[in-house]
Amino acid sequence: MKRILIAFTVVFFSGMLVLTFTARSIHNASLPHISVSRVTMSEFPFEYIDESGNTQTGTAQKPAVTVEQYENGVYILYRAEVNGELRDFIRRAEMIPGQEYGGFVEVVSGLTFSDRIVVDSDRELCEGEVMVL
Amino acid sequence: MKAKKHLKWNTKCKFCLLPSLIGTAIFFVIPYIRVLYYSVIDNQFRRNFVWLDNYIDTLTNEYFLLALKNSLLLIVICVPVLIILALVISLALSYGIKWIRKTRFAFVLPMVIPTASVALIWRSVFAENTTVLPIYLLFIWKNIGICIVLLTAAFTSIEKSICEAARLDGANSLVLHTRITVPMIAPTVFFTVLLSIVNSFRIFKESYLYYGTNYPPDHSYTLQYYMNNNFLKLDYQSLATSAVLTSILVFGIVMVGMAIQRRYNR
Amino acid sequence: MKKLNAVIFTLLAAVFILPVIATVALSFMVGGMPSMQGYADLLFDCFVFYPQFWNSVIYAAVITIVQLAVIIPCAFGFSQAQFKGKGALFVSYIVLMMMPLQVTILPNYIGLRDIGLIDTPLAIILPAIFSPFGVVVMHQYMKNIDSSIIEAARLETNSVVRIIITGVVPQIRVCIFAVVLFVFADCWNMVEQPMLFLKDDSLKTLSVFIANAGDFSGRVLFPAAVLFLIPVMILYMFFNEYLEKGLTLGELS
Repeated sequence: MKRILIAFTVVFFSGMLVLTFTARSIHNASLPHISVSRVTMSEFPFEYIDESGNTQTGTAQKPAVTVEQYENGVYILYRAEVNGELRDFIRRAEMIPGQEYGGFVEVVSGLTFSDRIVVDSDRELCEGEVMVL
Repeated sequence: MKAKKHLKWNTKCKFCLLPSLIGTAIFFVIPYIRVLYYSVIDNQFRRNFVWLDNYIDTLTNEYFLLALKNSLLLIVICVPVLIILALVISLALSYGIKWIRKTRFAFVLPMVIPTASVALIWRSVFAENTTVLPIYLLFIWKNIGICIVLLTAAFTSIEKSICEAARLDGANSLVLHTRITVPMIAPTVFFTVLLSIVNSFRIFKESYLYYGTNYPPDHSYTLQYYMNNNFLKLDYQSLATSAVLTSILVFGIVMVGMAIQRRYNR
Repeated sequence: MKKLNAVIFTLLAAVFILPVIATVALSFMVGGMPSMQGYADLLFDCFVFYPQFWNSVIYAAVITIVQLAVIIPCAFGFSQAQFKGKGALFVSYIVLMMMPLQVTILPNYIGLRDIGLIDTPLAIILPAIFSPFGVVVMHQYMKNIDSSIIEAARLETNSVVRIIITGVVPQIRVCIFAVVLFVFADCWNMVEQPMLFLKDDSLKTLSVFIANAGDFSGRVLFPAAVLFLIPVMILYMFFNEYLEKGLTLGELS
């Protein structure tokens, strides 16, 4: 009986010790590793009528995401406090697209210029906690 | 020569007391004198002596009185229940059959279980805070262990022959225990009562963890809440005053208890 | 009659142990279903838990060990030294032992503040070392020890430390075990001191973790409560048989 108890004690405390040093890396390994960037600006053509009444084509800088990103879903990075510490999370942006030009999709609303969005990930994305590289 | 050696030995033994005495002086006695001082001045910056004003303020404060009432109620209701239950259980543990003796594990265990661990279960079982019953049950559950340990230790130190002689005289177990065994360990019973009364002043932790707030319902607002809240408000005068009053109360209880015990021994 | 008694006591014992069993059982439940998710969340998603767990272990272990080094000589001194006012001094230890925490915590706080120890681990450890309980219990126990062994040891050596180690400690072994269990459990159970003496979360103990339940996702609480009671349960299993023999506190004066 005493022997079982001693064995249990050793296992319990060494288990706790090992977990103390490895838990965070195990946790981090289970998260998607992503890289983020700000919403880019891209040039979009637009038509306007000049003073003399002719239709002209110009370009304007507008916030945009790539077509690929738009098709896979745009994820916004945010920080939140969970279990006593600040961590990174992503959520899917409800983005309303505008015109498409040169591989970019214009953002009409749902994203602001200051948002950071996911540009690369080592696995398929879903809403939840992430590791930012 | 021998007397000299004896003297030296005595001095050495006195030195053994020193670490404990110094520590007690630094963390308990000297600061307590400052607490006494805080309780008779108006505030920490002006430091005017107001003598008993703080005491009058505290003794007329409705929250202090509510807290005092609840603390005394806990003593009056719970301590007798606790002691009787502990006596019955320890009698069974000391004189019962082997199977009963094995249940001791369960009764003494709560004594070491950290309150924080069980407060959660208490919270999920007693969802409503309308009565003070959960706190009373928690108090009994937590404190019965030490009572049982002390009482069983005393029961087992009674010599078996006394009980056997009484049995031969035809005493049934009720008579045996109420007339012989329990009176024989009366000093321990006294001590257990004393300890339980004093422990009832320590119920704050249980209550705090159960309610998870500094402002419990009125029926559970005990002295310790009063003091803890003043601690958080940094109201040292009220705190010091109630600490002094509580210590006087406990000191009185202990002294009366010991006097009764001494008288009984004679 | 005997059978009836046995049944009653088994039931009563079951009632007493039920809160512990229920806590353990609920720790393996998430949303009414059996699941290890609570443990997974606690161990791999809640890193505040680890430092606080080790704080609890270190504080309780240090307090228990250092306290023994203080109280054994003190109780020995009480039983051997002769001086005026010894009885009164011992009674004051008993009175101090009976004082509720809420009375002693303000003097503790003032003492610690004046030395500048607030918000350090020593704020938890130092006052607890000088808790008078062990002195009272050991002094009571030493009344019954065999003084001839001490006399014999005195002929061999002049060192009090050696006499205590060779002549006294083996005799009060049982009492030491009981005190270790009691003191460790008491320190393990501390809530007020870490809350009031410490501001830094990384210094606090597991009991504070559980007391601040609202800050964490509900699933981790019952697993945390279970892991919190394991160390003290282990100690209880080791030493519980010594409790009755070690803690004899009948007649005080």
